[in-house]
Amino acid sequence: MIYKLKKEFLQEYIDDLIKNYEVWGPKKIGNDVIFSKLEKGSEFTDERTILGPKNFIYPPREKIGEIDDKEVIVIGVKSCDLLGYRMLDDVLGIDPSYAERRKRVHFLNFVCTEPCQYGFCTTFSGPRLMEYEMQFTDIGNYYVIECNNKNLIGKRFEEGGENEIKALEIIMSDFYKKMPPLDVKDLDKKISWNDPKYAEFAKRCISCGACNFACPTCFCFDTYDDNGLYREWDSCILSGFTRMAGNINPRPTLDLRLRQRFMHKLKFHYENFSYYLCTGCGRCIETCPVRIDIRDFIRGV
Amino acid sequence: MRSMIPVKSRIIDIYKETDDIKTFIVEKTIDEDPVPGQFYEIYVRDAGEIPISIASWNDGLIFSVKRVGAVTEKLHKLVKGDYIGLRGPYGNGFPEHRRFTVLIAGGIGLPPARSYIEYWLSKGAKDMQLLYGARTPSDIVYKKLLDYWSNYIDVQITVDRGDSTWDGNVGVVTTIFNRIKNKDADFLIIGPEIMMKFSIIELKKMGVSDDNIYLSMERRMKCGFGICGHCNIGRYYVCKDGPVFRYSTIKDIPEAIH
Repeated sequence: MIYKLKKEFLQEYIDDLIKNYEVWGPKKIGNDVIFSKLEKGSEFTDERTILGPKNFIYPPREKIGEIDDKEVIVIGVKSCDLLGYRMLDDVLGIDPSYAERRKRVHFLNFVCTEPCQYGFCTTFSGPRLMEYEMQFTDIGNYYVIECNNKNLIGKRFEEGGENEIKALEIIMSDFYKKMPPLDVKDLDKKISWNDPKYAEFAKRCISCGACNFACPTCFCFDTYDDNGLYREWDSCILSGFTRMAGNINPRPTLDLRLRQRFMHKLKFHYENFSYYLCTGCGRCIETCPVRIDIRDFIRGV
Repeated sequence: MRSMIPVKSRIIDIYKETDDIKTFIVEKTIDEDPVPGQFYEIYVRDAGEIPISIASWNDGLIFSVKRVGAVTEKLHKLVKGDYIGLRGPYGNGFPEHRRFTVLIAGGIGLPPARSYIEYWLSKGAKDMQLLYGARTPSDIVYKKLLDYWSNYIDVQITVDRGDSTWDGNVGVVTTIFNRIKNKDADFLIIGPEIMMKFSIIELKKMGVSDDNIYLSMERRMKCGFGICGHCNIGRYYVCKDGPVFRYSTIKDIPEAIH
């Protein structure tokens, strides 16, 4: 169903949500915008955060066997992040504890109407998603709201129709003009094991793993014991990622690890799931201290 | 068992095989039966989890573990009656026995080979041959079993370095390939990748096709069912698409045999 909501009523809508749910959203704290628990609707901003809210469905560190059972609404997630979480679902969804937590988190995504500095989401699906619980697009005086969850319909929502769909299409066509998609046709077949870019990137990369942690689609984790068994996000860029007992390491050098990162996203995952493990969010470019740019890599293939 | 939560299992018995290898018989607390070549994630408290191949099973699960890292070090210190955590069985296991099969096992590769030999012997299959390479005579595991198996199948043993007690072959496992009884066979290779590499070279010289060579691969498998991302070989996950691969499936992947 399609609705519209006068922009002035968004705060009130969030206030109403807060009455029934724990609600998290981007909030300005000092100079930063951070996903925070919202006490009132006026705290909400639709500005972009540096990190997406992946931790709600996939905590950076968790004790295995312990899950939080509260229902949470996360409003203000960007479409590129939410699309990434759907990809996480395809991999992690077979784990019962992930699946259990996942169904308790409701993401209400906001569609960007202006390109961001590093994003290239039009390459994959663009900012307006086909699958969502509730999707907000700012069309000026109103938000157009595409809704698949009746329980979250607000009292000020007005029924929308063709005019709203038309407004969305105009905004999207404008967005695509400003952010022309990269050519990724047959990228999975063209990408090479021997691309000189791996070694070139390896000269600059400082193995910090920020790209992995900022990525909405990176799912790799490690397990370790710390008075109980924990699982923690892991990074394929780190030298210990594939190291086995006896110091045997199938990927001993950084160029091989960077190769794995790019090939996993743009070849192996495609071969297994028929889509690239990338949403064009640009977070890996933005957080990389040496500006390794996946767009450059894609253009070079 | 697609879950990260280990099932508590008691150690029923422990045998010392060699200076650094022990065999653990563990209570079978998971209903699902393994197939030969599969593995379990073994959790040792205050150490962590590691993937270990099943060597044998009946009422209990039998694992032979070499002391080589932090978790196995701690596991070796446990005693009868202690508890470990188990998850599994994971992986595809060896292909079904369909014709003459040569098992090439190096070092701690013998326990997974044992799962195959015992299983198919119990089904009446005797068209198998075992080529087993150990570092030294004192590194040979399952000495009694090796004797017992040689009543039914051909067992060939070699050591890298001999000693005064040893009157058998000295040399790496490929030095006994001339004793292979049937080249029109399935070849299962279980051991370090360097051993796989040289075994494949020799088998190719003998005219064995890539489709008939199977490799039991090892990677840093943390989950066991394809979600932790540690064990990629190209598009494949060793934990769920392997650990046993046809050589023809992975031979063109540059990091498969490194």
